[in-house]
Amino acid sequence: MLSVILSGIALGAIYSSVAMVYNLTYATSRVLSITAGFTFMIGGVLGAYFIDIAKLQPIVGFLATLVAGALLGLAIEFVAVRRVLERSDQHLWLLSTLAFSTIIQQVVALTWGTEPRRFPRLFKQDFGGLLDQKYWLPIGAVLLVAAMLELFLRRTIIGKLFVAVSDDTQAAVARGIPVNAVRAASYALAGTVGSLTGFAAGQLTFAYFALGFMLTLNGFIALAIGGLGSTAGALTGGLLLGLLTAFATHFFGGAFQNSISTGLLIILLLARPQGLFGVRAARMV
Amino acid sequence: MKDIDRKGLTISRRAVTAAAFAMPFVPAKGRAASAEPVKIGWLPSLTGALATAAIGFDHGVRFGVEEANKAGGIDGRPIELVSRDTGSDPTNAVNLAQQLVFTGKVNFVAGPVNSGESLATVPIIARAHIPNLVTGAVEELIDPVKYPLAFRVVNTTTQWISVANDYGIKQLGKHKIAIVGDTTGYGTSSAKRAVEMVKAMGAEVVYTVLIDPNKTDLTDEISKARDAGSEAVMVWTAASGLAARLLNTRGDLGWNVPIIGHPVLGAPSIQQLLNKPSYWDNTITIGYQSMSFGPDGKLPEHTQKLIDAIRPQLGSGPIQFNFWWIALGYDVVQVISHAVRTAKSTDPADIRKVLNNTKDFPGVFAQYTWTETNHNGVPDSSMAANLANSFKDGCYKLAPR
Amino acid sequence: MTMRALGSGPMQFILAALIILLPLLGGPYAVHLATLIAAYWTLIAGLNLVVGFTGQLSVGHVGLLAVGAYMFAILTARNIVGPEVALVLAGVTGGLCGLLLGLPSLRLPGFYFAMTTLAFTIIVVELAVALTDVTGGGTGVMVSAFSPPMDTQRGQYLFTAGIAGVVTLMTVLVTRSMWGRAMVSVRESEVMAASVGIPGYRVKLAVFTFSGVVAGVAGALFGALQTYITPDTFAFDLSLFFFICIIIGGKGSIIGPFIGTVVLTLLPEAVSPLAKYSHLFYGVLLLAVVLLIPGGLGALIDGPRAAKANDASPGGGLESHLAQARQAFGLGRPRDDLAAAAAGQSMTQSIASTRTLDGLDASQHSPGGSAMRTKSHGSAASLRLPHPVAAGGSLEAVGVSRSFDAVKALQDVSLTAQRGTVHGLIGPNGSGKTTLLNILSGYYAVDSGSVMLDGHNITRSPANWRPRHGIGRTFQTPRVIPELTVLDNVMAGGWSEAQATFVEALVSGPRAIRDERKLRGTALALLSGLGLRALAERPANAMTHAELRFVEIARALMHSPGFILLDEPASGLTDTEIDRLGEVIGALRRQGVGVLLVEHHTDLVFGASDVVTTLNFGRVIRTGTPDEVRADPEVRRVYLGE
Repeated sequence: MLSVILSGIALGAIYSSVAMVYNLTYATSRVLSITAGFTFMIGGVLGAYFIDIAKLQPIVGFLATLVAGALLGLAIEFVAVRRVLERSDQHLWLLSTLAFSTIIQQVVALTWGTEPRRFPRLFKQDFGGLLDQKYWLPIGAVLLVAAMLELFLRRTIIGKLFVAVSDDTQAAVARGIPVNAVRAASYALAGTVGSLTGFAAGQLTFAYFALGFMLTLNGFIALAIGGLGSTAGALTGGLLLGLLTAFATHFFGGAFQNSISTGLLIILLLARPQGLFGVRAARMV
Repeated sequence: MKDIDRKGLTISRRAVTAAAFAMPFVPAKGRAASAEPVKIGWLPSLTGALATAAIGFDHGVRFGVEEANKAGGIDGRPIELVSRDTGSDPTNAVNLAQQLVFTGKVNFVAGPVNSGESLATVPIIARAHIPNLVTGAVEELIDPVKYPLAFRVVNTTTQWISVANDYGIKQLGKHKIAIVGDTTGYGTSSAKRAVEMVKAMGAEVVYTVLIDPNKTDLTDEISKARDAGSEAVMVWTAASGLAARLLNTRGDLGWNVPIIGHPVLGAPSIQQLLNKPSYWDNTITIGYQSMSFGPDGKLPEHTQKLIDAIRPQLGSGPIQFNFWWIALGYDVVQVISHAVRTAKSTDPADIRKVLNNTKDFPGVFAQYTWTETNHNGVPDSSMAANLANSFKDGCYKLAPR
Repeated sequence: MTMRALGSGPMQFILAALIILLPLLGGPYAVHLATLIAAYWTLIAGLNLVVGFTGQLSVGHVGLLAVGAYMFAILTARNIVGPEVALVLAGVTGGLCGLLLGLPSLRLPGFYFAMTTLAFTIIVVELAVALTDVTGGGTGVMVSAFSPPMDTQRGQYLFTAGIAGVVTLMTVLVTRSMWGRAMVSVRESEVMAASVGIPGYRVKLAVFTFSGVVAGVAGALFGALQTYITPDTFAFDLSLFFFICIIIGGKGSIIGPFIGTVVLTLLPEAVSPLAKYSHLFYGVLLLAVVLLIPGGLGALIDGPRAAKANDASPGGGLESHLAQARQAFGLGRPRDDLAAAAAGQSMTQSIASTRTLDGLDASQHSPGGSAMRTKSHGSAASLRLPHPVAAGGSLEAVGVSRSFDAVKALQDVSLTAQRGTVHGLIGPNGSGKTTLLNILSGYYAVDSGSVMLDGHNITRSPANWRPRHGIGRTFQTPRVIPELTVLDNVMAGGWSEAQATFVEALVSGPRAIRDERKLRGTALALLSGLGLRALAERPANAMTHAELRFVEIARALMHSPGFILLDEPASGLTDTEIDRLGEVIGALRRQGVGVLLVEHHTDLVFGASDVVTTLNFGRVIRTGTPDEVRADPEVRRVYLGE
């Protein structure tokens, strides 16, 4: 039973991290980018590439992965978000980020292959047991990221800019805040967070091109459970979903695994569309 | 090859403009029979989720065609290969099958490689009265009454399962069996079949589970299998990630139970996913006598000859994927050559007669036998149980008997 | 998209028949591909109403396709019913699934909806694998052919294409009805749709359920063509494919997505050696379309010519007739999307700037060249409401309070507007005028207090209920549907007058035709009354800011409101136009309409109003006659700046 709980928590940490990626991009652009799960996937694939194939030191490979994640975030903002936000059509960002995600996935499939590949062992440790790094690295990474994000958003100037932009974009423009630059920064940060946790969870997930899509969906379910815009909500939502999935497969096997988690989404959205921690949106006109 | 390219070009022009629908076909008959090529339509899934095996098959088919044409074709008739990538998509496969049998006017269709696509194409090819060499393993593909021109050149899923059961239950004497499948169509149906077959052999199925192929942690499932008292674990999945995680979890838990099952357990891509090389021990994968090293460490003569011949084309190093894929592709061409040569024609009725009366045709992959009522060409005696960790040059050592 | 019913019908039918018969000239392969296109198009035509017309991004239709295909296969394989009955039942099942999926999800914002439809597809495919006894599991099921003569390849094709044709015709008819206008209204702005009484959720649900029915039918047709289905057949990629066909075709067009479907189905056949890159190609294509031609093929085909037609003299000229014909056939939108978007933006900005300047007279900031083309019609004397308004009665806010987070937007505000009077509402920016208006029209809930209409408490009734009960409104920034004509925009206001159900609109039943005739007459009369008759057939995006303000008023008058709430109607208008506005307000008052006038333009407010209420920081500081209010020292201090 302990192993079910632990595996649920580790899985939940992965979903939480994707939910946080959503939150970061949503904060400055009101965009829920489909790319969220794909930045995570890229973290695992690039980590494996840098360390196993390019033979970089793990720490160098880690930093290189973060830089690449940030660059990917910038590219997403510049290509798929910025131009679309300049138009009034509210749905276009969904299409552009969907298109960008497809491109990311296919480029990885064509260059990296469609079979899962190994992610290197980062620390010397015997395999197995409840203390295995494959569980604790993603859990630790997500907790660390969550703490850093909260500190960042509350204590630093740039973090406060994020909040200002998210509260009222027009007012931010009027006050001379470089909204485009702030938004780009938030996407870069989102890319970094995604690739960091993707790297940390690499031993659990393997470096595998097809991860992105299911994570984008499950990360969103975690977000919908926890409520948009809240770090605590992302953590809680991910944890609940992870545990639910783990226990559902424990009791019922895997045949209905996705039906259970996505069924939960539909029921939850019916009962409490704003999530556990969210506030119902007020303004319409 | 030039011929194929030209064909591809005409087809693309036909399809892009609607007006081209009206373009009449160039009649295939009416030319001198001796110069007329034997056209083989070939439907590998070179891309998409199921590409790995198909790429191997494709090497074999191309090599077989090349070799036959170098030797002057089939009784002087050159072989023309019309190859179409299905992208692992059944809808695409149906379209392409239609294209091959109607527009392409092929004499034979080989493939598609995987069963999901074949299930959709076999009836269509049957309706067009074109001989179809089936390379998918699902039972339902073959029915000499419904599809009199469909002949299987590969084993069936049941044969795979019975080899695993035979080895685990009879050879190793294990009577408490755990059965693991994945949640894909293949895994679900194979696991179900395996449960029936294990029970039919008088053994007990103590635990059975379907697992999402991307599930990250299998500690729970493997622990349950152990707690249920399993003496052997049968694995029916084609996903290398899931197979590797099963082996890793067994190793991490320190449970020394034999794992027996799908050839993916022995795939070289598994090796790099394993926590420790020793986790590959005590793992039996289903294979073929023709692809197994004998006690003398040698492969059957046919196999070795083909490996040596094709190795330069594959980069001259050791072969990095299952060689039976290549051998089977190569055999497809051999079987067609045999049929055309014997029938002295490509008429479907003649071909059918020849194949229905083929006994022990010596291919590299297997010795094929088809009869009026049995279109599954690979005999049980061709199957083998292999040691998963003995992969070398695309082949394996036999599991100890 | 003009709403005249089947004007150029015969030509279209001949063309459609030719398109359907063309593939028969080719061989079996061509017929096979054409059947596949017809089956796909059956689904896409329905999905197009959801995505292209109603603006709901469903990526889950492959799930509905699977439901239909499995239903058909299972029913026929077990000889429960014959194939034709099974086809109908597949449609029914698809519709039921669409309804059940739409019920919770269509209440949600776009991304949530998209994800829910995706979740649905995943569940369907997972169940298809897991429920082995019913679906055959991973090995799938054989699908029966139709009965003779539809069992031959050509027979099957003609049957499939015939159904596709009927579905296409239905979508053409429904998009030209009141339901079509409602769909486009919901897509462009649910707020606007509600303001004319369109129940957005119900419209979405009807459209989505219909798309479920045709997706189910398409599933049966597709399954019969495939002859064998497995869960693998219904990969998510197929949903993406349907979706891209529509996006490439362009929103609000029928022919565009059709061309998209044909091209994208044939393309992989044409370049099969490049199959490896096909998904990458879809991604790049989708991104390119979204970034470069968001209007899709439809806009590309029609864009330049339509722009030219817009310059033609109003109401006449071959060019504009051609443009209408093209629109009638759904050939995309008669406008340049980018230019329109840019124009919209500059408009918003100019309004924002007048507001930040806190100008009392906003007219000097009006966008250039907005002199109305209405001079020939001198006065608003001929403006008549479609139905007379009951005399007497009031719309009241009673002790209304409302906060947004820490900001107290309204505190204990009471206001009574009487029918047949003009009630001015003034106050500095941020004093709560628009908030009050939004509460009266049902967009905001109150924290405390109530809203009464003729003595009945309507505090909790939804926004789209109020127009149907006599409360109309306009917006600070006019909200119109840019690609529809002025006439259609006005007709969109007649939702509560229309009677035809969705199904009647699909088949253009007698009530649907009657509705159209009636609404058209009403709208033209209102436009004449407002002096805009000559502009009726022009697209709204060719109108000036001032003209749009009057179009909005005309739209709000379509359902003969007892009360009309005008939100800063004079902003952006020239002095002449403001005079006209004053006349219109006067004409409405004379006909017994109660006008609530939120306005900064003091001359207009004090000149036109019977009663004026002044708000400051969310509180009423004075209600009285214009003279009383103007004389009030506190009003002078906080508002008139003395």
